Amino acid sequence: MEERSLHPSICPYCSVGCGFYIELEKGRPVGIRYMPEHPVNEGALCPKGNAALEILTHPERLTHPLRKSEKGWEKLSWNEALDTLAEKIREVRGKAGPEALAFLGSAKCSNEENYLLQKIARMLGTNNVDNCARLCHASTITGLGKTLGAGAMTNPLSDLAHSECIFVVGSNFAENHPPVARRVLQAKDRGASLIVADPRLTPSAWLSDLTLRLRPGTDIALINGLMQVILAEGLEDRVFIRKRTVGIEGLEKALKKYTPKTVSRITGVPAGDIIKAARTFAKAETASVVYSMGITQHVSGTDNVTACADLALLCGHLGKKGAGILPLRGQNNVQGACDMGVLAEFFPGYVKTDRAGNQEWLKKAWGLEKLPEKKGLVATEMVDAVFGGSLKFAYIMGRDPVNSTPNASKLKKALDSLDFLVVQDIFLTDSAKHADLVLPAAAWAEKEGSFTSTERRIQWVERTLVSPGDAKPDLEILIELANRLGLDATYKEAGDVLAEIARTVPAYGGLSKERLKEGCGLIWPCPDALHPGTPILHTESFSTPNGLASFVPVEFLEPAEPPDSDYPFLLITGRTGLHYNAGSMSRRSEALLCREPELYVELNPADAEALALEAGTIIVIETRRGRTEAKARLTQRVDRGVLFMPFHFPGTNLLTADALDRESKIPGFKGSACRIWRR
Amino acid sequence: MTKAVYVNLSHCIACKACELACEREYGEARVRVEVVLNGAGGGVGVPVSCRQCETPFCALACPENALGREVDGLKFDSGLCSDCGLCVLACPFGAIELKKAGGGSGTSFLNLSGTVVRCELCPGKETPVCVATCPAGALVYTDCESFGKNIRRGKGKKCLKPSPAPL
Ligand code: SF4
Ligand code: SF4
Repeated sequence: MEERSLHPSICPYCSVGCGFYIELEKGRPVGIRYMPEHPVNEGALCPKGNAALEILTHPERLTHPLRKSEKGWEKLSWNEALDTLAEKIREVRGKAGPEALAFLGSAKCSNEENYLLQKIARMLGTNNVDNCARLCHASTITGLGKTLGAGAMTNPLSDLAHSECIFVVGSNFAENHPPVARRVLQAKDRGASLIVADPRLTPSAWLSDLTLRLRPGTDIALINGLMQVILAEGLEDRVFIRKRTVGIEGLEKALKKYTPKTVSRITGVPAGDIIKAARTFAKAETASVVYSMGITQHVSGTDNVTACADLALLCGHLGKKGAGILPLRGQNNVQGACDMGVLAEFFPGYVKTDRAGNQEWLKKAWGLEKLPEKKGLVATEMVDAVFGGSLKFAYIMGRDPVNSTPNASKLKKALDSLDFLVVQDIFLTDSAKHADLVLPAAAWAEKEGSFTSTERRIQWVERTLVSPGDAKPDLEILIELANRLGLDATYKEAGDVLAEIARTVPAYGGLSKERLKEGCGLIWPCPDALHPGTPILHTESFSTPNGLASFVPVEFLEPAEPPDSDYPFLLITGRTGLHYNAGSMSRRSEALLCREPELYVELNPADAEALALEAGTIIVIETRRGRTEAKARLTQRVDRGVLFMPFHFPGTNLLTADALDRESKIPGFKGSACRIWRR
Repeated sequence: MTKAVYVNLSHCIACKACELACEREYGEARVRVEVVLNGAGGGVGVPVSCRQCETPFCALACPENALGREVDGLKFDSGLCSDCGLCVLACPFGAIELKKAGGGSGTSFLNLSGTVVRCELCPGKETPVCVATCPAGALVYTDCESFGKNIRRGKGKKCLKPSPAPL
């Protein structure tokens, strides 16, 4: 048998950041070996991790730069492609100014690549940079930012095993972050209680000791209700509140009206369960709040997150082992892309672009005279800017907005209305089909760089394989483009960019390629070369100017688009265990696709009966924005009046609403009024 | 005592990672996860693979002696198999499936050429891949006695340290 070699790597799918070995034979990936020594996943991999190699060798991988012409796609050389691109950027910038350019980074690309992309944008004079965090956890940054001072997970995932109570709201961790279930079960084996609040009875709810099935969009009412009980029964942590927080009076006042009876009426959760949950959470020595897109993807996203933070603060469940707030992020490097400043309102390290003095520091670091000060357009605002005529050019790196953005028909029109669209990806995604120029990128194992997982763990991924055809690592493409634009990018490799990141982003200060390669990564903040990293945040003080956390009361508002007589159902969307986000990878993975081949819609059997629909019927789902077809699945998982659709297939996001959260500009994906009928 | 893959049913999240891992390794999944719902939205995943029976019903039922138990486990002789499917009928766990030699779709633990492809506990590997990959830690590679003992000890541990305010 031919010699096989093992190469450590990190799963390219989700933000958990599981480690495994790629098994190579003659340079081809032939297998996966598990890595029981990895601190995050202890060797385990979910279905997607097991299928990770399938996309590497997929026949549809992009192998050459492509230009759209009358005759279809035309191959061109890298030189031609990059010259054209640089020329276009110069032309648009010259004619319409830097504000006419937009750069969309990728939560699937490395820190180094994202850092360089936003640097290019800002050196060209625009803050129109954003990443897909806008669609999943922008509200975590705003909500946790204003309460705790840092919009990131406070404790590592393994800490969950040490919680006595785990309160999960708006997260189906069992399907979407399976290794989290491992930690939750370890806690349960030690006697912990699990409370799951979700409108759907998901596999996560199967594990729970108490399930709170709330009406979609009533999360704030529920959490306020829990806090009201805690205060009314005197279960709050007075010492913690006095020593480490401000603003409790305002919260106390705001919560008065959220009695169990009122909250039960709003949420549909029995008052007794609200009281039980509140007592269990408050009385636990250590408790964690776990949330995800069921909390963030609402027009009240920031307020939802804020309520979660208030709840943890009220009971002093922060800053120690087993006690914290754990927003489960989506993409493998969405945390990193945000840390790197691929956000319209932040420079690297969450430095606000529009605060006086903030530009000086970066100008010095980058040796520049000028930097854009105005907050840029966030991804969700760019669409309207295209129609308004002010945005003319977009560079999309590793992202498929056609399938991941709400109100997709409008977005497609916007892409077609641009003067020039360049998409850099590993496949000809539905978004790439709208591009003028397509650049073939290397996939994760074909390049090196660092990735930051949901628990702030920065891990180095090695280059293990060569890319198909002419496909190139994103970093190489960006360096070559930067040099063509006269921006003087002298980096030889990803390690050089990381060194610059370490000089620019204080939390990454102690990182180097060598250090990261040594073990299974480091958890930021890691300010200097000897610092061991900081798994638990806020142990002594919060990341706010005065070190104190703030209670910020939030009010429950009726969902933005309630069902009515024209659109009597409420559609919520989410993920399934066997697919991933826009599906551009998982739908190309045979092992995953054969187990979950098509778009479906979950509907309560009683509703189905009333409309004479059977399981398997193809039904049409229509909202105010569009319509799509899906196969009916009858299940008690959803309550009457509620529909659920996964968003991994084209179709779902034709339906979703593009109304935005005021502060974070995240769209309210969850909760679109709709109607249905048999096709 | 023979080791086998045991399941802690209260832990299975029905993610099917075990199925995919097995399929990735051997081309066909030899463990299958059924999702059983209770009609009220609750559910449980039931992963099933060969129980490595001391007295294998499949072999007892095989009229051609194609399946037989030897000291180091169940053996299959494709030359003797007549495709009758009695082994499938006999296995009380549904842990064996038969793809008729004539082809046809569906899953199978016996492939076209009639080679045994049922769960053989990943020979050459310390831990079967389904156990290693299971994110929930629901699968355990052990013998029957230790598995039972662990369940008893687990329950006992819970009694020692009750949850702060039992629900
Ligand atoms: S949990 Fe996430 S990181 Fe881990 S194997 Fe699955 S997709 Fe990959
Ligand atoms: S991998 Fe584990 S949790 Fe997932 S289906 Fe198999 S046994 Fe169940």
